[in-house]
Amino acid sequence: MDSDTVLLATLWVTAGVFVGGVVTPLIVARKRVNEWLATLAGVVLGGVGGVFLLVPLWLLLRLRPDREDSGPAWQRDAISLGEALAETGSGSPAGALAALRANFWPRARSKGHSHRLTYLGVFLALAVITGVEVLLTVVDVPFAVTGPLVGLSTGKVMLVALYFMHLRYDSRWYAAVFASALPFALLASVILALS
Amino acid sequence: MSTAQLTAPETMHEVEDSLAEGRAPGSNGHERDEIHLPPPSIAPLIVGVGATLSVLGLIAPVSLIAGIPLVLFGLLRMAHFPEIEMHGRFLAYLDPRKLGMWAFLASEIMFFGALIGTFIAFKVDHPEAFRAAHEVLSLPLATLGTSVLIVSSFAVVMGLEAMQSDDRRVFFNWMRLTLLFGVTFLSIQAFEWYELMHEGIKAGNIFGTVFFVTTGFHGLHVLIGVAWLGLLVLRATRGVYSSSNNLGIELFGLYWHFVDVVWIVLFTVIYLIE
Repeated sequence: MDSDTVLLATLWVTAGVFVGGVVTPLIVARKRVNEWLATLAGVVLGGVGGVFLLVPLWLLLRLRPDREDSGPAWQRDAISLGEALAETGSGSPAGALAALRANFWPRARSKGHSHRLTYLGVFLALAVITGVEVLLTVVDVPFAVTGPLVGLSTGKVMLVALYFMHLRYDSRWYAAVFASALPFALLASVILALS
Repeated sequence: MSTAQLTAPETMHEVEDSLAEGRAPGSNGHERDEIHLPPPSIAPLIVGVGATLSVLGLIAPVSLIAGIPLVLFGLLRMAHFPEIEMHGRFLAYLDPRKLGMWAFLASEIMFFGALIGTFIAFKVDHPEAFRAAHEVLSLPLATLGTSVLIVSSFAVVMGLEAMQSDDRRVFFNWMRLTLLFGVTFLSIQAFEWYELMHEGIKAGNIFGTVFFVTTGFHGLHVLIGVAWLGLLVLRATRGVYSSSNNLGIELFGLYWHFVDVVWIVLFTVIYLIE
């Protein structure tokens, strides 16, 4: 066997074992199945046959009956997207919108301020900036694009760090710990880039 | 679900004293201070051994066969851990776990800073090799990957927000979406690597060597994030997290957003700037 074949075979087995080992326990979490055996089966079948053997295994496991509920009430309350769609009258746009809202828009917090709209705004900003960046690269513009691209990416990084990573709301100490590494990171990149 | 609340272990002296006085051990007249300890577990040790074997797999791939299942086995056992509240004495208003996470991310930014610096150095030294490679790289594919990562980052904050208001259905929907997008990103990267290798960009090339090291280390971080997220969803299924106990989700979020931040920079440096 040449080295390419060995590499591909190793990648195949590794990826299969990983996917089988991560996804299978999630599928059997609420099923009346021994999760250790199911995970073992996922690891072995994933290693041998990848998704081609894993998908039949997962379908088979999904058919198993659910575990009797001894857990807290919220686990029994949870319904799937399909059930929510059926509940709210599928087909009509208003029903679909209601189902979407019920499944993806978090409730308001009982105490304190919710950040849902802020997050949505930051996400839209990130999407728009990415679009502008790609446009700057694809379309011929009469100026050098490197500067604007670096500026726009820095803006994106700042948005993610300030809002998604909560640096704006959290104690300044966390930001200080993170920022203390920036000079060294910059130093390392500049020295390497100039060498 | 295992919520172990052990009382503080008694010293042998105390046990002997109470036996001598004819009482049952542990029931000594006055109220004892109960402290909450996690149950002793060897799961982290199993993960450690498995991770070592997995890294050895870089040299001898055979050890992956033992390493990866061991890691998964240990992680599955760790899904039974209760969350532990830790109270630091120094700077008591800071959470030690969160501070540790930020310190870890600070070390990561130096690591990726060095990789990006190397990429730029190679680019400056060999402009013609990089220009040729730039023709081969697929911008639409990379844009798709970037979008997938940004949406997944948004999904994590919405999931955390949902858990903070005890909205578990919404939490699970966003987190499963994140899992799906993480795997999608890895698949896109695998496809891209496969195509590039067929275009002749291999680890031996000037461009290939920096490209594969940089995007490979980022991909490894995504892979670890996907495994972490799988564990997190499993723990959430067992009812570990709630509106008053969601630091575990926030810590994962910090890691995932950092991986997103690194990709935003890599996307600009590798794919956008010519």
